[in-house]
Amino acid sequence: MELLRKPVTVVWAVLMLATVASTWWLSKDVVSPVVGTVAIMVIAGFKVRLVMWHFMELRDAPVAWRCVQGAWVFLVTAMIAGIYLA
Amino acid sequence: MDQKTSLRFQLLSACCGPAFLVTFVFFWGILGNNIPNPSPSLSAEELALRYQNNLGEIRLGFIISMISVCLYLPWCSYLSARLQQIEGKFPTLANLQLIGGALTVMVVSFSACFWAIAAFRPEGNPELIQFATDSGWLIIDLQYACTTLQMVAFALCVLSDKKGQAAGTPLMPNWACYLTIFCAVSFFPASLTGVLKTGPFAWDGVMSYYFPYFCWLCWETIASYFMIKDVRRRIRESKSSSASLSLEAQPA
Amino acid sequence: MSAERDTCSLSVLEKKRRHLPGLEGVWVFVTADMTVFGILFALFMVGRDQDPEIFESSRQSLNPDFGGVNTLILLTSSWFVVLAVDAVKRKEGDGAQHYLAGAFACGVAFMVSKAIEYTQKLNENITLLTNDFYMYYFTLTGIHLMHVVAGNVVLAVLWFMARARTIDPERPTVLESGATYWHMVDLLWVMLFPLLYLVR
Repeated sequence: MELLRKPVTVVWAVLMLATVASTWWLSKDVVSPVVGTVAIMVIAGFKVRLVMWHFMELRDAPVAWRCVQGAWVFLVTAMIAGIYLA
Repeated sequence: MDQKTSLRFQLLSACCGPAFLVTFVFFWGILGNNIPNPSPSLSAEELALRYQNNLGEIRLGFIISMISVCLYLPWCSYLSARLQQIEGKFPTLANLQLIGGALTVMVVSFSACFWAIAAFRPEGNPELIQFATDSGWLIIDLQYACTTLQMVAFALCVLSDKKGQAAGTPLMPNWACYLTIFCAVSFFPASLTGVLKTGPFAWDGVMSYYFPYFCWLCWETIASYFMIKDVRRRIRESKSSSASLSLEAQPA
Repeated sequence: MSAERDTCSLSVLEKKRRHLPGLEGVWVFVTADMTVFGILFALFMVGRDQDPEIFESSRQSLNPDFGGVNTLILLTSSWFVVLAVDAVKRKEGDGAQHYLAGAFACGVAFMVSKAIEYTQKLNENITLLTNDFYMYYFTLTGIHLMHVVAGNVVLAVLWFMARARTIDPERPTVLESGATYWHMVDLLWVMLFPLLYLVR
């Protein structure tokens, strides 16, 4: 299958796995609630970055746009984790 | 009417945009005690007290803002005329922009009038004051779709101006048109003011008040800037073409 | 001559390397929209901080299976859209058409799943007036759902365009702009889902 060899398919598979791990594993009592929550939000930020860079093609975009979008992921993830931990 | 006079009226109408903006913020916002605005969760007595304590300002603010909001009309009229030039024989979007703008003025006027009514007998029944205040806010916050259509029509028309883009003189750049569409759809959460009394979607909340009103005035500013720039460019062009005409007319 | 061609191909390469897919205006729209969602996320977290018990007990009444499956659906939909853009650029019209149909079907599946979830909550007499958590739950997911509905209209239009083969493979600006918007709808849900369903 040519489809399965595409890099974007690998990205999709990673995104699916990360979603399954967050939703049906990390959210259960395998780790403490605080560790689990922070890990889930960091994974979500990581997933958003993957979508931006590989699906939205920011990988090849002008630096200014990459900075703006990258800043969004960083600020939103840090803000959520920050208010949660505060 | 000669072209010079016509252009002068056009410039005057385009300048009504910033004039509307300044008078709206001052009379409606500051004098009308709308920054910050009364919370829908206030009791009738608290609300009546708010009117009694700031009676002069509130009356003056809303009575004058009902006059000054009409500065929006010449601005919309000019916008519509300019869009019609882009559209040609069938000015569908230009008309829509005009109707939307005209009705926006009526929506803003009606709500300000309800608050002027609330301030008319401030020592009277607090529940009636609350009723008038509620009416004003729900009128202005639930009926935003006229303004949304006005803005979307404007943006779509400027985006479709292939001739202006090819000549390097679009009415507004591409990004400003998309920002206009965004500002237009930013009003939608305001519909929740019909249900919620607290939180960001109540009529004193970030998402139903500060952000959409900011977006509306932001559009008003951006559009005014580019409209005035456009009129000035056309005034310059008309001057240079009349100068070259008079040169040609001179005997060799 | 050959040197000239080299600099020419280099500048083409440079241009390709710095390419922003779709219209710049769509990116302005998308960034403004994402900023609004950023503010909404912050408001939710501040609200949660003020009333942690209500937020936690209400959160536990949500079914994370819905949210998780919806995330998988939207991610897959986004993947289909990427494949569709790729197919158009390779001039594989059939592929583009099928991928866009797949992306559209995923969007419909998301709406159906959301409708079932809302119906369950409303049948338990839970509305946006129940408490602050449900106010945020219904408004945030509702605003996102409107983005999904708008995105599905865009996908349907793109699908018809792909069927009619009216997308220019050299400059698929409309397709790329729609794709950018749809990926934004996806990434907002990727953030929104754990925020509402999983933060304990």
